[in-house]
Amino acid sequence: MVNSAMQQTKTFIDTYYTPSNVKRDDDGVRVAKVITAYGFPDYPIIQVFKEKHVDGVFSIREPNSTALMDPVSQAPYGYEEHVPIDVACISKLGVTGTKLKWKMEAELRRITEAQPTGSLRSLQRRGDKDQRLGSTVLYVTEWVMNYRRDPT
Amino acid sequence: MDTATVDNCRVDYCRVNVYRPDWDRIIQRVERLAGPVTTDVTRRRLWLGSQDSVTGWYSKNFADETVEMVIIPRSATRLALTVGVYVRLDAVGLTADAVKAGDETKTDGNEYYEVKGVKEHFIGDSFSHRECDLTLLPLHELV
Repeated sequence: MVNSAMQQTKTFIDTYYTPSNVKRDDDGVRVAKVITAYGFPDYPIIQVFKEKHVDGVFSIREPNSTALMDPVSQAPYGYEEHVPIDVACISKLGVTGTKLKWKMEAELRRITEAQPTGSLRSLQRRGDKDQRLGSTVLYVTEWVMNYRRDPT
Repeated sequence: MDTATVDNCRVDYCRVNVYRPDWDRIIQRVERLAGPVTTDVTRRRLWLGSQDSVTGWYSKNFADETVEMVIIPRSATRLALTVGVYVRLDAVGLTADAVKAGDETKTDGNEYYEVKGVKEHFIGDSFSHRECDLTLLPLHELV
């Protein structure tokens, strides 16, 4: 059974992510606790930041997929996946949300720049999705990662 | 809920916080309408466990405890309480006990609600009660 685009993207990030490139900004020494997970867990996202002391999340959401059709045989020869990745964090003691978000985003860019071969992945577009949760702001930047994959 | 009352007193410029009887008044209003009732519900306190290797999600775990809560469903046509309670979702739960978003509550009738949001009410600087926005979980027994 082939892996979903979400799982492939999560594995890609987990494999090439370098924790020492993303540090908490209070001392610049301690490594930020960053996790990679699928989007929309069925518990409040704030619990992850408070109870699990997570500093940042790469949240991978359901992709838009397009079948690549062979014009002769009319059969799909692959799929083009557009995978949304939300880079999310909050401000807390020792962490400034906007600063950490950029460090995480820079690391995501570095991963795709440093791994150009294999499934060719490109970061397509960037958008802001900050949300206010009471007095807390959840800083979120959405990227879309594109790549092509073989048929199932 | 066990209660204790401390007399209000001023010591120079210090003020000793007093226990407010607002929650007892809410219970008295309910009992005035419905007779002696129990407002005990099961609070299922959410805590996150280990991470799943595929999804990255933390496992959801619940620890059960009994709390007092008055649950008012949407479209309730008769209120035992004063005006000002607005049901935004499926129900509102009023309680003086500690409840947080993500927790669940189970009634004696085996109805499960999820706590979506909690607002604390204060009279001056003294805590009165919590107002919880609840959504019904109709498929809870299936999971």
